[in-house]
Amino acid sequence: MGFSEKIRVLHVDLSSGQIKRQELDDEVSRKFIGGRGAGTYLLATMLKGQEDALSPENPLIFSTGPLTGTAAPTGGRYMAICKSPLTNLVACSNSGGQFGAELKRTGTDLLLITGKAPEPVYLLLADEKAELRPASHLWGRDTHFTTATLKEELGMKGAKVACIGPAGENLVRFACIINDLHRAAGRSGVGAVMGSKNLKAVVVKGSSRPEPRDNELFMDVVKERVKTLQENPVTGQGLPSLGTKVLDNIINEHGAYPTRNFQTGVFESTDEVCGEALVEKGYLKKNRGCYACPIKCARVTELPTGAKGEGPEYESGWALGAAVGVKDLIAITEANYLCNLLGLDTISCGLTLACAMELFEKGIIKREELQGGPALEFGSSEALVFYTQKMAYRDGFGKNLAEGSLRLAKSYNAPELAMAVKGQELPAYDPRGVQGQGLSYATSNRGGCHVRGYLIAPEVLGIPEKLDPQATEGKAQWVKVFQDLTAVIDSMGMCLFTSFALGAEDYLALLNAFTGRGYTLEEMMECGERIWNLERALNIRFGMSPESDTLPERLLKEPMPEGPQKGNTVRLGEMLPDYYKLRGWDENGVPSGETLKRLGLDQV
Amino acid sequence: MAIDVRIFGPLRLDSGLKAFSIDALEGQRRLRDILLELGSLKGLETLRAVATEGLEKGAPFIILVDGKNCMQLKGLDTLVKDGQRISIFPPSGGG
Repeated sequence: MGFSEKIRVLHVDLSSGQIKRQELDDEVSRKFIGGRGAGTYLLATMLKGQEDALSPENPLIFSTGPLTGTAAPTGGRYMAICKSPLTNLVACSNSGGQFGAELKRTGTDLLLITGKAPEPVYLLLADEKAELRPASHLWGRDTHFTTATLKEELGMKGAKVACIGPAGENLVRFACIINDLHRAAGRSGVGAVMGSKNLKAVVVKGSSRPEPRDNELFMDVVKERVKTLQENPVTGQGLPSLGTKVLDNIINEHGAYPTRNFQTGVFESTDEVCGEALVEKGYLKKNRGCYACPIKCARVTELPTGAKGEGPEYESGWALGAAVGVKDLIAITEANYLCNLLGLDTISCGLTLACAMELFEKGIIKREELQGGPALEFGSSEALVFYTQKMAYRDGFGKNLAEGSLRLAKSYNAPELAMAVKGQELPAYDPRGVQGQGLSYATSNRGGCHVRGYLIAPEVLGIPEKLDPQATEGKAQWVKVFQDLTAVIDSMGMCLFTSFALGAEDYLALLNAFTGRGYTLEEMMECGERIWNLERALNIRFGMSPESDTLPERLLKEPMPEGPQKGNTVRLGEMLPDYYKLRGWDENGVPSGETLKRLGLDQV
Repeated sequence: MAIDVRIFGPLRLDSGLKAFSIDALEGQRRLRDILLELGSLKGLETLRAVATEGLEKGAPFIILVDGKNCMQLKGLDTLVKDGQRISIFPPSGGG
């Protein structure tokens, strides 16, 4: 395969069964880079705004970046993009593993799925060959069974599978897409959209590696950055040694480890469930890396019960642990395995359960509503595992849980107990202890999310420099830069974790060496800004009110009750006006005509 | 008179040390001196380098005194008092 500047689209219409190839203009790759940017651009050209996320009108896009499938370190990422059934805003979920790189090797940069198949199907892509095949025999089965069966049936060595589990089929609003058994395009319900289309799986097998514009230059740049990643103490030692779970104690000691539905920021049993415990208890067997990854942060684990799998990672371990008050590392790991098998987003699963537990303990959910299920008490391992299973099947009280925390809490007239932003559950950092992260949550284009602007890096970890987590001054600028750079990294096809060691100049060198586009640093960062504004404009088209740039009342009004952050709330009002101003948005958070014009978005 | 010390991450795995107390001497001690003392323990040798070379910019050791990063206090010159807790993490990231 020679170097390709145009984004090659494979369009599969499930309603008609038609499959065709097309290309996006050069201008699209130049302005939106690829991956997250190009996929969102395409989505914006297809949706008017009011379409139901679970209707055939909502496309599902698998989008790789220009560096996906190359030798670039961590260059194996893809994004799943559509309108979210959880937030009714842009859904844009990133995943690693091997699937994205293999998709690229088939000669497709972007897979566009439209319509709805009359019966369950899977898509087989093998280089030029693209076929829809019956999948009724896989419907109802978990992700591991589906993956193993497809590989066996096809007998295609090296084929990679992305699929949904029962949760996606049952339209659980936070169902994920699982690829390579253990990796997830996790958030915002992209798996439910796949399920609504009767698409069980996508199988890819390719043989053509993407070629850079200048191979010698590209390989030199790659080698240097791999070395940087290997020599950096975080990406070379910290993450390989304990994975992301090194954070449990850091965030807990900092007093920002959300516990029992964000009622406090200190979990008294962190020592029982932390990354160190996973090693000390002997559950961690080895590390595993995604495609072309020198960091290898994934945890291969085995429990004394004999169960095997991957995880828990930091977010999952927290959502199924401290967030629900569970201190039993075996139950947490089992629930994590279940989420992967059933195709549930671990964060939304845990936080929805946490919300239900608070509703139950406050007497708002009655025992008789649980239809014989265990009491929804904080700390109950039994409830954790039982309801994780139930929600994937929408069985019993699981039907209520499958709607996510905000819809659940609203149905009991207690929306303030949903720890969600714009309808998506918050991740594992209580922003009362990290002000900039609070602004990042409030303004994230996909709602509660830590990977749109990870302010934990400077505010807690001291990367690239240490900021005072309780200061608000200057945070708007940091949030903007992090959001824009993250959009660039996601659009290139690399993993965000590289940014613990690499800076904007490194991404620029990699991007230019591969594509020959000759971006300046300013131009590249403007691409990130353009992508951010495109998502914002699209969200407004979807009906988002800028008033939703806020946080759950608890985080704004209830002072942290104990620990190092005692007495603190998030001072969002001190940061949000600055942020709007820096973004070139009006005081209501709407991008001005001038800003959209400057970014070339006035026609979108 | 004691200061609580907690060791985390790969440092804990390397040293086998988790939580212990050190003497607060006159009631307070400079953080740098505490790190120098801890650096003589097996598995914690890198703390000696932190004490002498300082907290690197970029990907620093994270050292909290009662949950507050020492860089928001007086850095390695922070005075740690009797009854306070020090939490020590090697450079870390995740998400």
